[in-house]
Amino acid sequence: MTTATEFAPAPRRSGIKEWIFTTDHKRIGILYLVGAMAAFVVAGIMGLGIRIEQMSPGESGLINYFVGDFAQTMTTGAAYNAALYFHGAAMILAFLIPALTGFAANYLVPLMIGAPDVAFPRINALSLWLFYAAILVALLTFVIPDKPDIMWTGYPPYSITTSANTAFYVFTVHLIGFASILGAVNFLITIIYMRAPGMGWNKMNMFVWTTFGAFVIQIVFVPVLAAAVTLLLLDKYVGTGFFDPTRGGDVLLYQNLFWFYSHPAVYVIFLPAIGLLFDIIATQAKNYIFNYKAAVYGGILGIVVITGEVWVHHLYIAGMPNWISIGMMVTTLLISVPVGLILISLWGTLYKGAITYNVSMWYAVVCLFLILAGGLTGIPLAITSLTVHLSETSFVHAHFHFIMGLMATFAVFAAVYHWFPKMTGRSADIPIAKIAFWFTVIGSQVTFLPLFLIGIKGMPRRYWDYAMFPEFEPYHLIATFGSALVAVGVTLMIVGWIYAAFRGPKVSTNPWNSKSLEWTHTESPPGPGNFQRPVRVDESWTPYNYN
Amino acid sequence: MRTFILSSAACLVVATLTCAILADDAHAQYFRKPASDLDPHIMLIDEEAVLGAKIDGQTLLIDQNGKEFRWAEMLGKPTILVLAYYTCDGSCSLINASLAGLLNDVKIVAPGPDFRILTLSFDRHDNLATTGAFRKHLDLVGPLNDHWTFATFKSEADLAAQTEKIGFKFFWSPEDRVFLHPGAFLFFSPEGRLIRVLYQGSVSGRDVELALLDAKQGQFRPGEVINFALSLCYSYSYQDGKYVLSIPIVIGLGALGIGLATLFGSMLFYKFSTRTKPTKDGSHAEAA
Repeated sequence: MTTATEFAPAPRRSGIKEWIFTTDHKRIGILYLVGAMAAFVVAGIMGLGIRIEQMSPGESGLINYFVGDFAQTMTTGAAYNAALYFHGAAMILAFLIPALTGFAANYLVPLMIGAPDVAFPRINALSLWLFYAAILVALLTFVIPDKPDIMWTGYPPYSITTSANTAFYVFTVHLIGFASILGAVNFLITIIYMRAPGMGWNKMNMFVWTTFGAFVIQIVFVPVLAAAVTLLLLDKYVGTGFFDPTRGGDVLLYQNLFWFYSHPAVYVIFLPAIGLLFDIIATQAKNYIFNYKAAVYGGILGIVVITGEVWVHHLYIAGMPNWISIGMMVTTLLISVPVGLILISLWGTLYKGAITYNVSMWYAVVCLFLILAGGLTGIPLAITSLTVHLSETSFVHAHFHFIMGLMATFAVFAAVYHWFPKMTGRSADIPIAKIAFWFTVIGSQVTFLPLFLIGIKGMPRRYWDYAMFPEFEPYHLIATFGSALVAVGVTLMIVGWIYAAFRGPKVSTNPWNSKSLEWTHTESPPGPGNFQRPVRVDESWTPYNYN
Repeated sequence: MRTFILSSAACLVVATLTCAILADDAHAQYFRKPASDLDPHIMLIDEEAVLGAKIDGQTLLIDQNGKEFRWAEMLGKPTILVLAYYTCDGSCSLINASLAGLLNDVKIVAPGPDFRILTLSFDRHDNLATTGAFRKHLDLVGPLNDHWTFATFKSEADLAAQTEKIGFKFFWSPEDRVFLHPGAFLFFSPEGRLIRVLYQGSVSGRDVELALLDAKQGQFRPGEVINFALSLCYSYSYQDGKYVLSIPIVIGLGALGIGLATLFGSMLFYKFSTRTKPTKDGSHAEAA
C-alpha cells in the first residue's frame, strides 16, 4: 500500500507552443514516438523499395523512385545503396533506439518510479530537439544529389572514396549520439535518485531496470562511435589518414571502433524491448516476475557487463589470430547465459498466470518466439567455423531482423497498445488493430523466413541484383509479397492509432488492473507533475504483487 | 558546484594535454612531405606486391662455419633477414652494424629465445672466408654474437629465385664496382611469411621492436599482454616507412573514458548539487 502527502501540480496547457517547448517527460515521450514512427514509415518504405527491386533479377529501376530520383539520374546500384543506407540508419538510429529509449523511457520511467518528472527536464527537451534535428538531416538524404550510400556502418575505404555524401551520415550519428548521451545522463540520475521513498532497487519495474542497463551502455559506448565517425569525416573532407593504411592508418580499426559501440547498441534496443515485454506480460498474466533477481542481476546486468566484449564476432572474416577469434566466440556465446536467464524469466512469468489476450499481449507472445528464433539463429553466427560460411549472406540479414528488427519493433507496438489508455484515456484495442496484427505478423514471417533459406544457400546480402543466382527468384518473390503484407498491416495499425486517439472507446484509469504506479496512482492521461500527491511505497508493495 | 566546474576544467586540460602529447608522436603520419625529389623506388622493395611471400623452406644455405642448413630451420620464431654481400666495402657493413645498434635498443624481446637474425649474401662469389671476415669485422658481442647467423646460398639458382620471390632487386655497377641494392631489414613471421620491410637509416630501435611484435602475427603468449597491447597501439605507415602511434586507438580509448567520466561525473554532480546543507540554526535542509 502507499501513503501520500499534499502535492499541487501546475495547470496543463495544450497549444502547439506548449508541445514544442514542453519539458514534460510525457509529452516529450509522445513527441519521440511521433518522430520515431515517422522515421519508421519512411525507412519502411525504403525497405519495401529494396524488396521490390529484388523481386526479380535484373534492373527494374523502381528503386530510384523510392529515393526521390525521379529523373533516373542515378544507377540502380547507387539508388539501391542509398535506400539501404536510409533503411538501416533510420530504422536503428531514428526509430528503434529513440522509440525505446526516447518514447518508452520518457513516458514510463518517471511514472513507474513515482517521480514528478526527470532530473533535468530542460536537458530532456534539448535531447528531443537534437533527435528531430537528426531526423531532418537524415530526411535531407532525399533532397541532396549526392545521397549517402554507405549503409549504416560507413565502412572505409568506401565511405572515404565514394563521391556520395558521407557528412550527412556523420552528422546524423553525432546528433542522435549527443541526444542519447543527454538522455542517458538524465535517466540514470532519475532512476538512481528520484525513486519514490520506499522503492528499493528490487522493487523497480523490469522496464526501469532494462532502461537503466541500456542507458549505461549508451553513455559508455556512444562516444566511441562518435569518435570513429568524426575521424571518418576528417579522412574524407580534411585529408587525414586515420583509416588509410598507406599513412599508418588502419581500415579495420574503424570496424573495431564501430562495432565496439554498435554491438552493444543491439542491447540498447534489446534490453528496453525486453523490459516492455516483462511489464506487459506480468500485467496481462496477472503474475509476479519469475526469478526477478536472477533476471535483473544475472540477466540485465550480465548483458551490460559482457556486451563490451563481444564486438569482434562481426569481424571474424576480416582476419585475426585464432586466440582472439576463439576468445571472442566464447564471450559471444557467453552472452546467451544472461539472455537465457531473461528468457526463462519471461516464459516463467506466463506460468500459471491468469492471462488476458489482447493485441498488446498478442504482440508480446509473438516477441517471445521471435527472441527464441532470432537468438538460436545467432548461435551459428557466433561460432567462428560456421560464420565463415554464413557471413555476408541473407541469413545474417534475416537473423538480425528477427532478433532486433521484428522483436524490438513488435515490442514497441505492444507497448503502444498496452499504454495507449494511459496516454489518451482511450483503448486502441479495436478491430482494425487485430486485422493489422495478423497482416504485420504473418507478413513479417513471409518476408524473412525465405531469407534464412537462401542465405544458407549462399545468397549474398546487400546485392541489388542477383542475376547470378536465378534460382533464388521465387524466394525473393515470396519475401516481397510478405513485405507488402507488412506495409498493409502497419498502415492499418497507424490508422487505428489515430482513430483510437480521438474516437476510441474510453476506458477506466487502470483498465488492466495493474499494480504498477503509472496505473494505480495517476489519471489517464496523467497531468503535469504526474501524481496528485508525492508517492511513497511501503514494504509490501511491488509492481507485480498480484498474489 | 564551483568545485565541480573547477575539477571538470582541470580534467579537460589534463585530457587535452595528454592527447596533444600522444598525438604529437604520430603527427608526421598525416602531414609529412616527401623528403627528396629523387625517385627512390629503384632501391625499394615493392611491399604491396611481396608482403606475405615465402622463401622456399627447402632452400639450402651455408653458414659461417660451413654447415649446411635449410631456410625452414630458421622458422618457428620471427626472423630478421638482411640481404648483403660480404666483399662490400660500403653500405653492407653499415646496414648490418646499424641493425646491431638498433637491436641493442630492443628490450622487450631478445635474440635467440624470441627471434632469429640472418644475414644472407646475394653475391654468388661469397664463400666461407669472406663470410667469416665480414662477421669478424662487425665485432658482435653478447647474444647478438651467439644468435646472428651469416650465410650464403648454396645454389645460384636458389639465389636468383628466392630473392626475386621477396622482391629484392640488386645489380652490379661496373663503373663503381659495387652491387646496388636496398638497405633493408626483412621481417619474417614464424611461418616464414614476409610481413614487414624496414629501411636502414630511417628507423629506430622501437620500429625494429614493433616489427618483431608484428612478425609474431598475434601469436602472443598469455604473459605477453603488454607486448600485445603495444602492437595494437602502433601501426606501420608505408608512407613514412616506420611505426606511428595509432591515433584512432587513442581517440577511441579517450572516448570510452569520456563515456565513463560522463556516467560517474553526472552522478557526482547531481549528488553534490542536491546534498543537504546546514542552515543557520544548525539543522539540515535540502539544497535542491
